[in-house]
Amino acid sequence: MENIETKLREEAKRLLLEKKADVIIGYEKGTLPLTATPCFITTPEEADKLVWNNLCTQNLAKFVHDLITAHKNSQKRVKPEDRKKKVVGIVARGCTTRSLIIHLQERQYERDEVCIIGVPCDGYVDGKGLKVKIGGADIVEGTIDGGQIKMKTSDGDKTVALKDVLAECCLTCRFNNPIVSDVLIGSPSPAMNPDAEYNAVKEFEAKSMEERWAYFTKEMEKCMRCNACRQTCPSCYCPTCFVEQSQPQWVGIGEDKSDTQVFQLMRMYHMVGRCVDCGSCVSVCPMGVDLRKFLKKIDKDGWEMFGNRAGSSMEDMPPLGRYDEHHDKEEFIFNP
Amino acid sequence: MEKSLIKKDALAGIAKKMAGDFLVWAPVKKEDNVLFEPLQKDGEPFFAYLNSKNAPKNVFFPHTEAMMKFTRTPKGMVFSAEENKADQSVLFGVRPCDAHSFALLDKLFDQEKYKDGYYIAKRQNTTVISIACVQPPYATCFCTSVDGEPVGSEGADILLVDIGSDYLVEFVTPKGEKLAQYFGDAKADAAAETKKNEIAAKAVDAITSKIPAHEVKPILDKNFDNPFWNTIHGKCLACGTCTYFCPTCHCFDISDEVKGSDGVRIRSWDSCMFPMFTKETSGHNPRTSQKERWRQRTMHKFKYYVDNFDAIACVGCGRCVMSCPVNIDIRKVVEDISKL
Amino acid sequence: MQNPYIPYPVVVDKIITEVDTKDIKTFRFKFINPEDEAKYAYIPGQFGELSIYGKGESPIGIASSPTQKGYVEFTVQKAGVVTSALHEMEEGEVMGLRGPMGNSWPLEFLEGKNIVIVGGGFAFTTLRSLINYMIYGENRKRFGNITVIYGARNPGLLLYKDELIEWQKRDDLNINVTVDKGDANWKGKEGFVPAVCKEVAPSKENAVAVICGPPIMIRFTLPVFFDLGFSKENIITSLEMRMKCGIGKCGRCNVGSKYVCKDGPVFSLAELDKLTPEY
Repeated sequence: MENIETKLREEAKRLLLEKKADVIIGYEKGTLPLTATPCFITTPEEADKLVWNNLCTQNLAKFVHDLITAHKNSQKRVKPEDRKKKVVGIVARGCTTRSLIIHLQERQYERDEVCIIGVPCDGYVDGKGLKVKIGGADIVEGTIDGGQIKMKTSDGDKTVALKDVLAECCLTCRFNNPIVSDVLIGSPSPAMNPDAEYNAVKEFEAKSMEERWAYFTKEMEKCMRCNACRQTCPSCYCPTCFVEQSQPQWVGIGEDKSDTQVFQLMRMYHMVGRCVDCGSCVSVCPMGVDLRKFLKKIDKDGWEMFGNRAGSSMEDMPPLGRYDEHHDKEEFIFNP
Repeated sequence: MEKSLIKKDALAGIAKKMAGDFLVWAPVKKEDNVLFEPLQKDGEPFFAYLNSKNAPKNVFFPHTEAMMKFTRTPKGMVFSAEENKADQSVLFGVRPCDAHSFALLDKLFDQEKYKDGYYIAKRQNTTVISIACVQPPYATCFCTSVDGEPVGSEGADILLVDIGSDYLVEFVTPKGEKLAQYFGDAKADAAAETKKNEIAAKAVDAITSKIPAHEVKPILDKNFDNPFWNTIHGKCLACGTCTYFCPTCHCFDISDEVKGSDGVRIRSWDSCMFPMFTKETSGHNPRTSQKERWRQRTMHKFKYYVDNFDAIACVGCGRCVMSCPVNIDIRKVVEDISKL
Repeated sequence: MQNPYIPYPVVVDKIITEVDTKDIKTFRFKFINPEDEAKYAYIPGQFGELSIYGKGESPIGIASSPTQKGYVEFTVQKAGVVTSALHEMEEGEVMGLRGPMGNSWPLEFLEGKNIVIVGGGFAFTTLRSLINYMIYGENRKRFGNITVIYGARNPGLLLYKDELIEWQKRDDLNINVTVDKGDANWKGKEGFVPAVCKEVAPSKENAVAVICGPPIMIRFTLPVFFDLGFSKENIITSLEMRMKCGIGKCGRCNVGSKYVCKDGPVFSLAELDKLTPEY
């Protein structure tokens, strides 16, 4: 990883110096042990903050959408001929590039507004899972070395194998290397275990309806409606989410079970052909709701029924976003 | 009142005995989380915890609570009943930082003018039993920087201090004294008291994470427009995790829900991190971006609350630090402000 | 003790459509329990939460004057969920009213002074309350000259048309009504509020300006008063923010350490200068 980090910093510096990108979204070391956190690099000097390791969790594509949208809004007051494009650079692994493809397919911005620095990925650590693995102890210090996580904790020194605490979505990832990129750093990572991708879903499907419903309701009861899952999701970019609409009001704002279920169900259904299994929603959820079980089911259906894997290529349009340019009589669909 | 001693392994039994007599909120292990929940008949309290995932403020200020009911009549919907009752209850085993938060929330909800009956009723009918932090639960704990003490009793009615094989039981308020019978007859001697004082002093020293919380007040007074505010919010997801987990965050929304001919007006947690929080019907939003929202959150805790109530609205529990999905660390924010 | 979150039950006694566009109406409420009227003792400049069960609440300035006994009036523009539902209501229907909330126009401070009232559009409501209070019976003696400058986009959008005529008949009131653009029947002034303020040029001597209107009007009116020599202590306005509880707890309407619902909505410019510019 060290080598990749060095190259990443060099490339980031170069892109900023050559004005190929106005900002680069990457990861830096967090304030807590064994964490990395999103950061925004605008000067070559800052590029030395960038890190790339198994602690880089979130899908940064969300920030690309945020930054470009904010920039476009700020340009509305500028005369059309004076408007400038902003190029957002992003450190992107496989799932991140899938999200970028979805944005591009959904015409959220143009390809030349984003500068993709592709990085190979061999999975990230599931922080909550790691805590459970060490019996809920507080991690005081930690390092990752040679596939081992070594920690000083409130309950003494602990060592855990990296492979045992990788996020579920990473273990069976099919696209751990960037699908598109402008700059590619390092050589591709070895494949994960995509053959097992749907094992957990198949197991779940085999259960009775009552059991499945019981599991769903149990998981949803943990949800406290903080919206972290929606907020971190690169595919959740509606300017006003249905949850916040007041005329009409679709869901209540309280902790009513059915409101929470409707919120989560509706959000999941908005993910058909749009969920890239990056695991961001799962990693940010403070209560540990198993959202992936249901999202992965939708993903499986998308693959089995429509042959679609969200964001796997520019041509692989999401099932609900496929229109035939030559036969669809509504012109606005293609040229909004 | 004289202090008592109980054997350490007697704790769960006492909680369960109380649960037979009234509602007891205790730390309960639910899958991977420890939460404060009503102790069920066959339930087991989980005292081997560092701190609970959620702040126990939900006991007095639930995520969602009914304020009143209304019903449909030929003249339209009319107000039918006030929903404001609280059972006799015990909040068993909170950390001193969380108990401290109740004293802070009291300042807001129990003001001279405009008393919040919903909060006050629950608060008055609940006895708070704290368990002191002999060891800091987390490396991120910073209670001593915000007027807290790991062996402090602010906001608690009873304080339990682990002094080795026993807990020293201190009855802090008359409300706490009323529950003395549950803690047996063993009285604490001077040796136990000395031991407790030693432990308390050590516990203070053991809190190593520190923030200049008091120092930033005069800086915040003068730096509303400082460009520093551009540096925090970039990665903020605008989720409500920090505010929902915060023991002192108290912002709420009020909304009506109707089913058939009956309706209820509820209040539920809201968050200054949510863009909709201040958005007006006209579309105007005085806090236009996450920058202004972060400034609000920081100012509210370290300036506005101090202006209004002479207290910092933070107890140093570190929940926001540990739970923020993007690692925005309030300790660093305050540290950075102190250098402005 | 009265639970401040529980509304007083009121009946919609009278609905007056104020403007041609029909989206601003004045609602007159009577308390169903007569003893509630005394509990609802208010001062001009305060506001109430109009409470429609099943829809929610909306904070609205009180448009009537406490000198008008037996009822309370609110002038409401149809905008969101609650105000839309209110506009659907009919006379005789039952709803709720919370309050009165907030501080008020500073009556004690205004006493013995010459008062200049400047209102624009729909924001005239609590100014109307103040005017009716000041001109009521013996109250009139407690105040010096009263100058009113009130403007709307067009004649059809003027509120309280009958009252404006009555006020103009009085010789102890200087009423200046203006519209941005008149119509065939309009015989009054034409022009924006700031321009009319300039023209009327009220003296700063022993005077206080009470200004309420849309942000754009305020922005251009304030310099006129500064030019006339009014100090910031003697210019008073009322703020609007999104509110829920109305009693300084729910946390959304603060401007700096002050809550608009509890510490406001009325502030002098001097006071506002000390607060953060976040409204």
